Amino acid sequence: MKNKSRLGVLCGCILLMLAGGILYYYENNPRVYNTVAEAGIELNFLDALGKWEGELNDRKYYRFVDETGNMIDQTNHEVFIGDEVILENNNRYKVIRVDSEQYTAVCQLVGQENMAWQEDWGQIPVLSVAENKDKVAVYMTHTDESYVPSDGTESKPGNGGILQVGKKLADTLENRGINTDISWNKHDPHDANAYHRSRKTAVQLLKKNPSALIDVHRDGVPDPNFYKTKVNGKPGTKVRLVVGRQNPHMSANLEFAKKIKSYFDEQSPGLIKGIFMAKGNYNQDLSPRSILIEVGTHTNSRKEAETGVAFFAAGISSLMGAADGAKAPAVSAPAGKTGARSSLLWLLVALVIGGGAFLFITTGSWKGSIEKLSGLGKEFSGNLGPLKGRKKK
Amino acid sequence: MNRLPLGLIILLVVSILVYFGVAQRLLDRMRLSDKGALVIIGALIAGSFIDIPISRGNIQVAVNVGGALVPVGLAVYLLVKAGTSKEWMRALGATIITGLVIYLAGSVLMKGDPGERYNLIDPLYVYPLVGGIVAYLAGRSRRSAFIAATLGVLSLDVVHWLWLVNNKIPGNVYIGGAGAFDSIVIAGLIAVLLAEVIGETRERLQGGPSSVNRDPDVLQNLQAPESVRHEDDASTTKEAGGRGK
Repeated sequence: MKNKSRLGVLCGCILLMLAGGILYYYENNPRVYNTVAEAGIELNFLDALGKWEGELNDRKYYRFVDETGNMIDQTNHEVFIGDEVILENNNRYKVIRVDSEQYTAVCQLVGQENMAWQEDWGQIPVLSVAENKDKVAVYMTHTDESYVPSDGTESKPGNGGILQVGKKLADTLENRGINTDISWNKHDPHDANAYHRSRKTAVQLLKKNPSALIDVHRDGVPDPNFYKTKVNGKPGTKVRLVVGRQNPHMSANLEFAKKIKSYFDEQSPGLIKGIFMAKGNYNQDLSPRSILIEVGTHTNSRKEAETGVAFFAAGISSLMGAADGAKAPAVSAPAGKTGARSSLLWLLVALVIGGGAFLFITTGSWKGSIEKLSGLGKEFSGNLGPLKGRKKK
Repeated sequence: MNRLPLGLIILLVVSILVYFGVAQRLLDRMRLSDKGALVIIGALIAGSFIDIPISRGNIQVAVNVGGALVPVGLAVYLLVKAGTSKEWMRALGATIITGLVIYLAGSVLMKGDPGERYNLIDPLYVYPLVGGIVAYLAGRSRRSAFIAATLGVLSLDVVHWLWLVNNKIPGNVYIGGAGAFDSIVIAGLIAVLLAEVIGETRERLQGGPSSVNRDPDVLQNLQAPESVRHEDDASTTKEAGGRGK
């Protein structure tokens, strides 16, 4: 009997692994995925937390075109049917067809994201400050990232050009009256574990209670014109905002990103390249006011990136109500609430569903779950539990 | 004092309460009493503010009490209390495999650039997934999952230290530097949760813990503690699954 059930569990595990493998291959391979999607079936089990892309090699890139064939965007990532992009003009498009021979993704207009700057936000700082205690914290997770035309290479471990760009951001904020903490901690080598290392930096910076936490990066798109722009007549780069989807503060951070974009769209249209809702967490679970920025790409010059980021910093200081040294009164920003509320709701829903499922598994019935819940208080009533039991043995 | 909008303050407070609340319940699933689990939570929080420097000079290394010493101390305590030398070997083997797999996944497969091909799940969640699954396959044990995940992730910091030394790059290594929110602590907690869910589901499927060919000591430990038995005889079988390993 026991052997039979063991065999059953083993078969179940093998089947699960097999199904997982097939799903992974299917969702990982654009050709397979898109062929199936054309037949009307789109499965995203592995990807319930958001769409994801892979980078293309050999300087190939996908062109996003609208239904009339006009190019609207480009990317060096793999494209999947159902992917969505929010463009600079806040138009949101959904990919409905992918031609992997021509590297073209045909998109349908979904609608326009509502992120217009509201007049009254100008009177009250979006990041509320008081008593000259406003602070922004800056760090660089990938401390090797560099700009080829200026630094000669795209990666200098421990001493990348990105450090200068981060410094420019911090210096400009400081000059505009914002106390800025910048961390020079090195998190090399350039890999995903760098976020495990920079997490310690982020927590160190958060101990000083900053209003916002900025992780400075540069992109890896080969085309320098993709990020190129003019800032006050000087050549500079655009800045892309990245919000990680896999954390409980995602809504609050997205709200924050949208507010930054809406401010720049009003004050200096074209500086913000858009908002990329990426897979991953990027340590944004640590604060509801954290953002990752991509300042240009590795084929832009560092000078251009510094010009772009300085302009970005000037805008951030205005958002904090500290522009020109003028201190605005400390009032809560009205629009910060919806993101926070939605994050809070998700957190509580996850707690109830997760806790409920856990109780159900451990007790085996709803009745048992309720009994266990009602006995929760008793567990704290002073018994030493297993320790005491073992000693008596 | 910075003033954040009320919504954000509530969000932060609830997040922290949920985190430590869930953490306490998870620690409680290992060989710890309720009070013991609470003491550990307190030590994690207080220890987050204490860094102990262990190397100065070009490459500065510091160990955080809450993020490294407390979880490692707990892992060592659990190892010492491990029932059999087999469990020792399994836990240590799982730790080494976990360290290797998360290093390969986070450093070779994933580069950490937003939108890259293999960035399916953030590394923060990959660590406990690997630690939990490897430890469970090796020893089917919650404690072993905690040990493998915490020590496995800690080994990443040691690798970083060696990497800085090897490449002669001046820098800092903060072992467990993010305190109670360090990947080390989060990995240990989620790994226990994972082992618990897999273990409970499996035991429920097969109708209770397996007792064939098992060490009598282990079987004895699988029984509910006396205090619980005295309090509630009816719940003995339920508790056995939860308190055992």
